[in-house]
Amino acid sequence: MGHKREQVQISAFIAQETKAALDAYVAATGLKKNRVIDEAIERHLGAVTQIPADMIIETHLTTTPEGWEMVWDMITTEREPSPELVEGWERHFEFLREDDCSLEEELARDRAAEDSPDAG
Amino acid sequence: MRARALRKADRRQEFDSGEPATDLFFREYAGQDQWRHYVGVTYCLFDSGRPIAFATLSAGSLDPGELPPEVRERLPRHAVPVLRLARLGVDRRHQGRGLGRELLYVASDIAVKMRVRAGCTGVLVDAKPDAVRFYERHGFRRLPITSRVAGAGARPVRLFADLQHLVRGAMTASEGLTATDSLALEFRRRARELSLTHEELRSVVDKLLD
Repeated sequence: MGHKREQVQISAFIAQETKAALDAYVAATGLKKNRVIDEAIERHLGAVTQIPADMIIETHLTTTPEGWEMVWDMITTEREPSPELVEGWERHFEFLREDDCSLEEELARDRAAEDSPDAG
Repeated sequence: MRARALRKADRRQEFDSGEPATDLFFREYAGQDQWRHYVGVTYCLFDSGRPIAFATLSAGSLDPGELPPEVRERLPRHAVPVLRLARLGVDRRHQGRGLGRELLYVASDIAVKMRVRAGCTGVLVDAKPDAVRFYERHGFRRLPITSRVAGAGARPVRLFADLQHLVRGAMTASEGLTATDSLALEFRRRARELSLTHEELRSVVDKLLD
């Protein structure tokens, strides 16, 4: 016998397509609409909170309206580079310059790494 | 020292940044993202053939979501392409050598190429809270983002730097280079991109000098 949980009412605007899919599902199964919605939300939230956030790379991100204003302000307004930014590039150029082994040595080194028994 | 993309043969299991989540990502997920899901490429710096620092890059996009009418009238609503610096870690035995900073500039360098070849408006970083000041000093600003990932682990702080700004920094820095330095660096970079052998490179130079 299942534990009957206390219920509250919520309302939300949802896509017409989602509503149509929900109607078709409850018509086909005979389940109560509120039960389907309750379980669906519970399972969705259970799933997204189990994903280890540190392991996921989100490629598509949405800003807040303030964030979007900030992005366009940065894209369209010139700023003076900070000393740290200039120094970072200078160090980067140094890194590239220090890399003075010949391409032949580099290729040999890369081939040796690929032959490593730890491949896979 | 030159960063290059991770290869299957690279020994990742001994990598130890002191951050368990960062190490787990590098050991277990970075390869899947690169070779199975194609959502990111991890660039590494090496010492004696072993990776000692990594940065995972991914092409991404930023969009404004729902905008209030007053903002909608003033600003474009289309998504913009960005390069994501999604993860960065330095082995703790090599911390304090500027390797993390170098990888930030490797990412910025790649973003510049991306802009020329496919379009890119800037670099978007996922930073640990204690690294925020570092990125801010290098021209990044905190960006409010909505995220669908709400799982375990610390939430990263998102920071953005527009490419125009990053390029301006590079232009100022390159003023100190001689024309020969710049030419040599560019020539070497192009040769690597084309995977030219030393002999092929020499042959190209000989033909140029003829």
